[in-house]
Amino acid sequence: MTVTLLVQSILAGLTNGYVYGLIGLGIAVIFRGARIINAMQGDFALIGAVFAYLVANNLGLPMPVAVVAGVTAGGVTAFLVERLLVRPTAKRRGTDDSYLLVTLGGAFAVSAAVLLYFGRDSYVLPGIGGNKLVDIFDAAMRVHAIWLIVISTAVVLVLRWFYASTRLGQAMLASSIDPEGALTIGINVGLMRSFTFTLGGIVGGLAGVLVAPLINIHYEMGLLLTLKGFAAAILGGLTSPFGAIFGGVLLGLVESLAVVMISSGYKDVVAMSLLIVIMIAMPQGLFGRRGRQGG
Amino acid sequence: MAELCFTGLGPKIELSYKSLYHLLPPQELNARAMLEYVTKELKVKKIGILHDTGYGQVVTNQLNGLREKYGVEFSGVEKFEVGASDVTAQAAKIRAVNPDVVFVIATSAVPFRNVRQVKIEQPIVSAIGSATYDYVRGFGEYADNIVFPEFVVGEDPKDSQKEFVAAFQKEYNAVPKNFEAAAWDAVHIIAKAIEKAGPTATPKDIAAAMRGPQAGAMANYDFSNEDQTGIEMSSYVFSKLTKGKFERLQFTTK
Repeated sequence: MTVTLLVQSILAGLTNGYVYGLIGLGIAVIFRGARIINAMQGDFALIGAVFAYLVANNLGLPMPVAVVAGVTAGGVTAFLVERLLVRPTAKRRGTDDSYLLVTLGGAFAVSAAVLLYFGRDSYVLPGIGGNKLVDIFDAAMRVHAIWLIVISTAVVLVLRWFYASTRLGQAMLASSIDPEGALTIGINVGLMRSFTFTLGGIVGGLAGVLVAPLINIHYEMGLLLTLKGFAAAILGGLTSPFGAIFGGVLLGLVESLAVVMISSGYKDVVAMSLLIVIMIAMPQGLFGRRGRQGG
Repeated sequence: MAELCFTGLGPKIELSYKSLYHLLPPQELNARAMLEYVTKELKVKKIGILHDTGYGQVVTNQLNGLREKYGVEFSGVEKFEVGASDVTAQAAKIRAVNPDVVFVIATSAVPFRNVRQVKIEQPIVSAIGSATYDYVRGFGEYADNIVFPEFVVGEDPKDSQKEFVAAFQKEYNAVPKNFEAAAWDAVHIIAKAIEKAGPTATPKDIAAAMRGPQAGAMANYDFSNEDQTGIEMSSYVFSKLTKGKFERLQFTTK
């Protein structure tokens, strides 16, 4: 193995890892705030990417406007999902499985809608810096991928500050940890859950506009991203946004190093075996922790 | 009753069906066409292959069976799952073995982009499955220096294809490719068979009327052939994707 090949595999792993981590971040945000595993997170990204594409290509508006449109579309979709799918399920005393199934159904519906509107084709969203590459020991990394890493890191830091230092963040956490206790002290738990989903949707929409230039927009993108994002969030800890990013990067690096050092055919075997081992050894994930129960 | 398929020959059980006619070539023929081009036109020996585990695996299996006959070496063979969002690591492994040419065989635009992003500058040769404008859109800025063995280059059609291409352009204001031509051929083959079999023909009679040589826009078929298609190497044309446009190459095969 050459140095170039090793460096290229690390760069590929980092890039993919942050892609998985961004989706996992959204899953962690929603789980942290609502204790619901959201199977539509990848589809929030898909919707964000689709809206950004439509605004940029069909309306001819500048990319920054398209990005805002995509992020907003993700947030609005998530808000509607909470109101139309999650809230009715909660009223009927749905279990954890119910929320997973309801959001999974939503994911398939979104995928089918994109297939109906866009067809099977894939579409390209321009990235930051276009297709420019940065040369590192003769290996290549897209400028856009570097921006993806920087922006993802910034989002994690902002979320950390938000949950730790703002009343709204604290209220959202309180609503998920102990809904009855939160109600007692006057927190509107239902509203906090809506905010949680909206925040998760905003993160998802942002993920979509950042990820789409790397992987192309197509109707299957949502479900594929959700699977990887879910693995990242589980690895890192479902309640930890930082853990989701870390889990994603770990997963991405393991996959690409497995391709290079073992065989491309064993990529998923190695990566999923790692996931299983960590889940057995650390069921809460690498950075997750068991929530406080009772008094 | 006759059944016309817009695929190449599939599982072996199909060979037991008498009236199953394929309008697209078997993957063995696609593999041969790729090897014909790289050995006779590019005159190379070392080939790197990047393929998916669906369509790509089927074609690669045929390539493996033809390797010795063409005297080539597959210096690197890397695969990825269908629908993979990134294959940069696999592409980097192909780059590391420094092949003379790279075969990319997939039903996605992702590997074509990743191959160029890891700075593989060798020519890419792909298979007919990716020779559509939908893929060209997905390739983005990387729709360049890719050769396809295929059948229809709408921008520069063969004489036998000009009528079809003109009719398609008039109707849809777009340039047709292989699958559109196959659909055109299918309708005309059915019409001719009904005409030949007569107004009181049964489905069996119509199927029998199709079973034989048929001249089409996409290719010349012979549905009495063992492979249920009868397409020969002489029907192939070779195109090169240059800055998003297909150009017909002078190279031909027999």
